[in-house]
Amino acid sequence: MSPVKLIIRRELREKIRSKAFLVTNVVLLVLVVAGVALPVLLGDDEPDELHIVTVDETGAAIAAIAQGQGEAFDYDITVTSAPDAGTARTAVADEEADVALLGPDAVAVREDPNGRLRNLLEGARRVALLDNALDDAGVAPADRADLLSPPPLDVERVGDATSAADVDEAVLFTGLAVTFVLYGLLIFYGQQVAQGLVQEKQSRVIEVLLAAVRPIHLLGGKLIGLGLLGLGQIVALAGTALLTLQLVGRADVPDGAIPTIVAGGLWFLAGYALYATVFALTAAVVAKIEDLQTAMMLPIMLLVGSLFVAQLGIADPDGAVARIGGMLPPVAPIYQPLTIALGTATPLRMGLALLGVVATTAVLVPLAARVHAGAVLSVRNRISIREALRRARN
Amino acid sequence: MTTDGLVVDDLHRAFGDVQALAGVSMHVEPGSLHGFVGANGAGKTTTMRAIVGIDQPDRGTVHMDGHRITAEQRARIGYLPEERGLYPDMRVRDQVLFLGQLHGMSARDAARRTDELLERLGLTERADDATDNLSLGNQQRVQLAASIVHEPDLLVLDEPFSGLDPVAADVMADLLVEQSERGVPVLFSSHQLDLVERLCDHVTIIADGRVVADGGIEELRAARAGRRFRITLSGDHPDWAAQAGVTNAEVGTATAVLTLTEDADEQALLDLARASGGVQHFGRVVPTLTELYREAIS
Repeated sequence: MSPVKLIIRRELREKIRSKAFLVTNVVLLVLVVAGVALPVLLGDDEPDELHIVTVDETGAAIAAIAQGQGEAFDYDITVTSAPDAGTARTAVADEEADVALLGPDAVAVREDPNGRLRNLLEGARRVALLDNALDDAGVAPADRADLLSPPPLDVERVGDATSAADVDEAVLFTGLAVTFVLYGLLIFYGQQVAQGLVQEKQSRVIEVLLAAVRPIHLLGGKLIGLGLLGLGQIVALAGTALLTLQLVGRADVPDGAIPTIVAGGLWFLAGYALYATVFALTAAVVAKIEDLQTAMMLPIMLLVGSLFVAQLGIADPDGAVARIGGMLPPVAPIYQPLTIALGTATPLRMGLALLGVVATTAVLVPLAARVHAGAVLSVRNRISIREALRRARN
Repeated sequence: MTTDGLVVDDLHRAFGDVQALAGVSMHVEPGSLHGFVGANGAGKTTTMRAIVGIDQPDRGTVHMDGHRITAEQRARIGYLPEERGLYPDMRVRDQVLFLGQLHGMSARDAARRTDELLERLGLTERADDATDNLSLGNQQRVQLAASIVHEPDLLVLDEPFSGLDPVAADVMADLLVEQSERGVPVLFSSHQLDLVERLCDHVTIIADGRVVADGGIEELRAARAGRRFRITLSGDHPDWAAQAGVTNAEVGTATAVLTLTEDADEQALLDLARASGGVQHFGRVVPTLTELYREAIS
């Protein structure tokens, strides 16, 4: 077996065996199952029941109009009548009814109505009063109906402005979840690469390894091994999410969610290649784990900045920050999968963003390999990248 | 199997203003146990790193069996660095197996050899423990197993006896002898000169990046033996200093060490010793390796 394959296998086996990795993954999977299943299991799609009791004709008219608009306000409304206001109040107090319409100007409730109920009742009251006024003015019932219930507005969209509000909530949620998972995994696996390189120096095993293999094999094997592990983790998380949806009876995964998840997996590969290389480049010159945090500041700041651009992208998907910033190589792996959920992705934009990431990675990989080779025997102190490159030349 | 062994020729290496190596040459023959001694910072580790290819000398060459060492040959070297290094969390057996395969062994051969070595080194019961959970002595044993698991064609060991208890040192010595008996050139550095003297047939002494003595240990000792004789008597010593040809006499209770001129007749002195009483010992004083070392680096 080639040295690179052996190193890949070692990275995979040792990480999978580690308790920290197992515990992290079990926790992540539980969170995914809970995050997907609980809203479905605990959520209530049925409209709220509302029992209105009336005592006169005006109240009955308001109640009838409210009943007609009930669906829009997420209410299933039942209307009954009472002989007098006292009976109606008693019905509300005894929880046989929710609202008593005591006339055009008064209602009785057990507790202050929420905004939704208040809007429903006020709207219905305005329409009922207007209808009465029009009737008094001699307007025919058909004309009154045309005036009070006009057909819905004909909405015409111009320009290409999009907002998160236009996006299916479930798809947006998926996009956000993919973005945060990518952010978390890129940081996690970047740190794993960095720690692995420094631990090999700190434990001094590096000298034993270098007697058998070249530095490029060590670096390559580590990058590929951890990348495969990360991809496997993404597949496991996405598969668990979809399986959970099936099990809780929500097989109707919304359009846009699957492409977002698939793009997330593919962009993880590109993002991992880029960020793992940057983490490796900055960690290669470090000799001790305690110095690593400072060395990892650059890639971590780039990732945090990318997440910030993604937030701006949700607020204004067509803004300059999202359109231009989202194409930059450090940002693209985090933001581009989200553009599918936001509906602003185009093959050209995504292709160009991917090209940028691949080109940047292609430049950084040989640089990281040279720095690693030059700094690999600096097991006591941190050296500069320039010094590492000088040593690699020699 | 090796035929010519390891030939190091004129290695130079500078680190900034420090000239670590200034023309180191040596020849480690097949089947030879070759000691490499010198003070801290003399250039031993730099030389060994250059031999195994993890550091590039500025000048000079390293040949194995008459050829420059290739990547394939490098994988056939067994190397034990001065600063021991293993993956702390990796299980003992997995670690040795991994390093065996990394040196080009098949999975089956590496597994067989790993189990064999762990048994030999008394580590079988700890095979599934993380290396970090072992005592330092046992970690040393794992390190040794890792350096010879692939049955190397050349062994380069930097301070292999450092930190070993007497029993572990015996196990290490036996394994090195075993490797040399396979025909493998074995080069090891050590500050324990008595041990080098006992184990090795050849030695290279290095000081300030230069070789100051090199050759067979017995030949080196004999060459520096000179005209000093040790005499142990059961009776009283005569007045040695007054004898013709004696330039210096250090007389103790039973033993005297005499330094003679080039033309002095040692047989006449032996006759005088016999006349003085029972001669328990009469012989040329041959310097120990420690004395040779002190003389060489002074």
